[in-house]
Amino acid sequence: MKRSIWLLLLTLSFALLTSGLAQSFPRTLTDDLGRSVTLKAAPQRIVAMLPSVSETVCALNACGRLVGVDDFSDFPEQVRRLPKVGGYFNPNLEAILALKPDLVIVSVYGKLHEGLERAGVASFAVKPETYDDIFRTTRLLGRVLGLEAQAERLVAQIQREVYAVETRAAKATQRPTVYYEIDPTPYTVGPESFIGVLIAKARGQNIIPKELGSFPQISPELVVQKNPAIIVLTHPGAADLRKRAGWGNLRAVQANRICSFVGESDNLLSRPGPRVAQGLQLLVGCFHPNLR
Amino acid sequence: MQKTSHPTLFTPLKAGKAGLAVRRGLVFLGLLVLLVVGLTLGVGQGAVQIPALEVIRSMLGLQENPIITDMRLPRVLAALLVGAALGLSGAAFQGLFRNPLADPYLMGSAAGAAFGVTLAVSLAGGLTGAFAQHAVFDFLPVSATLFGFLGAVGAVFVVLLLSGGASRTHDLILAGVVVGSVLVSLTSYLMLQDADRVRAVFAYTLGNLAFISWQGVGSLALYLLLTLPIFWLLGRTLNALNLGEETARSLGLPLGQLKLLIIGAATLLTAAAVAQVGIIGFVGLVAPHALRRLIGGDYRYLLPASALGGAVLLVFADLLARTLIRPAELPVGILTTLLGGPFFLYLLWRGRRKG
Amino acid sequence: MTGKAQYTSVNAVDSALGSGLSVLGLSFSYRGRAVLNDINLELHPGEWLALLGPNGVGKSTLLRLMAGLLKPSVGEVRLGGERLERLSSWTLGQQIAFLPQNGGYPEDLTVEEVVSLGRIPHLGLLGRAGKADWEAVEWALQQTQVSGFRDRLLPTLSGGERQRVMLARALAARPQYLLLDEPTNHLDLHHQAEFICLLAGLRAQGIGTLTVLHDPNLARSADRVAFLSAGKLAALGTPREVLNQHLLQSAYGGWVRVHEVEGEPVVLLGG
Repeated sequence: MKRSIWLLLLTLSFALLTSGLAQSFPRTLTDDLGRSVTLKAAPQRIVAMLPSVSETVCALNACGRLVGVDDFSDFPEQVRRLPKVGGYFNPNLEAILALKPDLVIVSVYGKLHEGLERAGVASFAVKPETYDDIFRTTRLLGRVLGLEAQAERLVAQIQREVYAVETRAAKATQRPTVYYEIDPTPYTVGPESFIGVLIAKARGQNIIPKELGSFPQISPELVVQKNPAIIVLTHPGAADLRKRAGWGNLRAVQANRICSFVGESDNLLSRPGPRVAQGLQLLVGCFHPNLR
Repeated sequence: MQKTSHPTLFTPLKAGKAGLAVRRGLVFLGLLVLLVVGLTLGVGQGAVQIPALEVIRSMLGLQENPIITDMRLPRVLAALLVGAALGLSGAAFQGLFRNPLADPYLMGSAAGAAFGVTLAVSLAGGLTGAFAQHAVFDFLPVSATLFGFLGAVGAVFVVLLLSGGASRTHDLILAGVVVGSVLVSLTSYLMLQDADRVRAVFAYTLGNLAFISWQGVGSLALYLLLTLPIFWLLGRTLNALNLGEETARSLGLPLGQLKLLIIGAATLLTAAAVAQVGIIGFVGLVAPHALRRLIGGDYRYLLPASALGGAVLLVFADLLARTLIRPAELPVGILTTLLGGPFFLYLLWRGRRKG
Repeated sequence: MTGKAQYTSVNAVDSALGSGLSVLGLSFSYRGRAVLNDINLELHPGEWLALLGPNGVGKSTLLRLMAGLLKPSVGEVRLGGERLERLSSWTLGQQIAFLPQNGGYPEDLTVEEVVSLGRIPHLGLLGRAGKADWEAVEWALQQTQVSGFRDRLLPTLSGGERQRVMLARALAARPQYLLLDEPTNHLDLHHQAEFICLLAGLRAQGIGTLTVLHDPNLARSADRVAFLSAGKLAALGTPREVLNQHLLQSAYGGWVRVHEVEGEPVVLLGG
């Protein structure tokens, strides 16, 4: 008896949940700032303030709904023709309002959403940072756009692509140690960050211990002590590495196993978006050049 | 009618000339001991644990360990030299402006250096790319380090031009504030044009000793050696400036030239330091200020003491920056501010209570 | 050492020019505005000369011109017959000591350290203080009666003591001439009297002292009084000669009264 009541409750709640998912507009969603955002209808005039969001929206075949993007959005091709409305540090509120958007998708960092709130424009904050965030954010955006089914298909597609690259990398016999430098402060990535996960998937060993967090500023002594076999840079300073005090004798420097990813290839690695498998492919090519 | 309270931090200077001399001797000795301890700890401790024996052996050249000889040693020496440079310039500016709150960056050198470095980074982005983002931290002899140096010297030069020379001290401070603000705005603008590099420039403004090379240490030492005789020459002038500029002139001092000499020497030192390691706050403010209370305001002793004090402060601050969360690092500028801020509040609080 | 008080618009002229610190036909303009006009005046060794006049009349400017800190637009200042411009700044510092009105004082130097700054004209930038220097410092400390707190810091002293220390600093150069700008400003009556007494005592040391004073009554014990009005030397003579109602009323206005008390002029306000 008791069991049947539990079963009933379970099925009921499941039904509610699924109906909630499929429910049409208006719908209320919780964004990554913890705010409840009510969308009266599926947004048709969207401004995306993150490059990875622009990519995801287009990958959901909703590129036509974008009316403006941030300065750094440059993929896919259609995005390049859209009005640019400022960057993360200097969003141009007036330019955004002039586009008369019905939704602005913003980063959780910064104060843009407050300005938009005062102007009476709906905003939705996202925080795509970790590897898992790629899929979470894709699904979230699917619900925002009313494109849940497409979002599920996109998630499956990204995972399929990543799996394919991973399978190839798994054939590698070695797991070289890797130091990944974002900027010469030196800032690097921890194993639990988005790039940290990609390094592991590409069958490399990050020299940074996970205790240091996702994006630690480290002591160069650590790099010299760990003596990595490969150095990956996403800044244009490869030529300067051997001039750094004490770095000339690093294995990676001696063997010239330094991969420099700048510009477009840096975008693949620094954007937790739908093109993550291509970024992963870059790393695999760097770590295991003989693998084909 | 006589006030009984006393502005010194410690016991009043009552013991007479001999007592003051003894106290000065003790302070100098104490600073030297602290410096030696700091240098020893600085070489022995770091992100990576290295046994003491190995440290000693590699210092003696019996064993090869680039972490000791190529990284820690130059870094510790750079902290010493930069701290000394900032302490000296800070003391000189406090004397020149007759203001115990003056710091080495008062005449716009820090803003100028930050602007120069940002400009170098922006230009590099447009030119070869590989050229200079990191030369910020002295990988190349020319490039961002030079830009920082020129920016600092240039800013002070513009300040001197705007205030019509060094004769009117108030004009110097005003012009310094104006030029500083303009340069900060320009720097922010450049940073926004090149947002990818905002972090590198921002990190520079917090100070960074991580990648100082032997070459950088050499250039710092050179500037210090070049300017030390000038400071030796200036002690008495700074003392006389205590009485006001008119009185100092009435004592026969050729103040026009001497003031330019003070500004020139302090600017060269500050520029060299800022160009190599970025903007490190509070050292040049706190070291002279604290030592003034310990050994009195005679600049013939205060200048060398401030150099030593600044060196001690930065050697320990950098040691903490490297070891507190090792193997990660804290920006050393944040540490000097965290250490210096409360100390300054304490002095302020004491001053208020005394008043 | 005679001088006639003249109250006409013609400038008073010092009769014995040449041997002391002399001002000859001096005019001074600042930013196109005439501040001083054809001044002739001499400060003799061993003399105490008081300089009076309304606010903004150029008293302090005249003092700075005599110290060589400003250059005259017309005319010249001579020291022992030599133009100031021809003397080195160190020589000037050795001969003429200058104490400005609001020079400020060092907060973290001891009395002795401050007074020894007065030896800079003799020591230059790097010279080491010798026996003569310490003796001069000691003498200055004694003269001004501040040797008792030589090791104290200036902020711990009273205003009167501090002003005596600043005077000691000026004296430490063992100058021939002493130029003081309102040294009794901000002092209470007791300390004013004490300070004036001290100045009077310096005559015996052969030092010529020119003191800018605000209060005409303090000038009574001076040897001579010079009165500046509207950029000109309106009167020069003994205190009795200069401190008369006609002159003071023309300079300060109708409510100034000069009374005679025990044979000395006393300046009062109101009628």
